[in-house]
Amino acid sequence: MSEPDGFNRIIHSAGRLRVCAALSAAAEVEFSVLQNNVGLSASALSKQVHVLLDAGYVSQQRDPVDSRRIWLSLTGAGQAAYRGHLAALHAITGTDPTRQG
Amino acid sequence: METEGPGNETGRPDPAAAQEALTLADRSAATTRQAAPPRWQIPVSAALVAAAVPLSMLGHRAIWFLVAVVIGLLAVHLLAARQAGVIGSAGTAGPLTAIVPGVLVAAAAIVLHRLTGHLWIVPVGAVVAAAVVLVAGALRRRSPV
Repeated sequence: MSEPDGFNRIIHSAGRLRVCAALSAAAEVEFSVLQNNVGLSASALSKQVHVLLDAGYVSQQRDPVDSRRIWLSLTGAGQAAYRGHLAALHAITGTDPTRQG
Repeated sequence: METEGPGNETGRPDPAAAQEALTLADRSAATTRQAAPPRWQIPVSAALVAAAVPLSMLGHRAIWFLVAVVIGLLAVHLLAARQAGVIGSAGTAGPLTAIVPGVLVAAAAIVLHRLTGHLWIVPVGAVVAAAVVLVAGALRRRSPV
C-alpha cells in the first residue's frame, strides 16, 4: 500500500493515476465521462475502478434518476492518498507541488 | 489490463518517470475541469432565482417576468452545457438539480406573499432562495453527463 513518504503503488498505475487525477478535479464524475477522459475501454476502466474501490479510495453511486449511470468520486482516504502520492512524485522530481495538481 | 505507472516496474520511479506521471495526472485533471460545469452557472442561476421573487410583485405583467426568469435559467443551463462541451447530451445535471430546490423556495415565497401580503417575505424569500441554490450548487459540483 502506501510507503511512508506518500508514494502509493496502487495509485501509481498509469490507469489508476489518471482515474484519481480526473476524480480529484470534480466532486463526482460520471463513468462514461471518466472513460472518455482516461481513454480506456469500459471493462478496463471498470477493472481499475474496482481496485480503487477495494482500496477504499473511490466510491460509486448509481444515479437516482437513471440507474444506468454510475457516478464516481474520491473518498476522503482517496483524496489523501492521491495528494500524498503527488507530493511523493514532486519530491522525486524536486518540483514545487503548488504548481501542479 | 494492469499497467504500471510511468517508468515504474519494481519500485519508485526515477525523476523523469515521476515527471511523466505528474504530467499525466495534470492532463487528466485538466480534462475533467474543462468538462465540469462552468463556475458562473450557479451564481448566475442564484441571481435569476432570487430576482423571481420581487418580479412576482409587478402586477399583471409578473407572469411574463417569471416566464422570462424560467427561460433565463434554461438559457444559462444550455450555455453552461455548451461551454462544458456536452451540448446535445443531457447537459450538466449537477447544477440543474441544485437549482431546483432554490426555485421551489422562490415559488413558496411568491405564493406565501400572495396569500398573506406580508412584504418582508419578498426580500427574505429572495435571499433564502439564492442561498439554497449557492449551497446546493457547492455540494453538487459534478462533471457533465
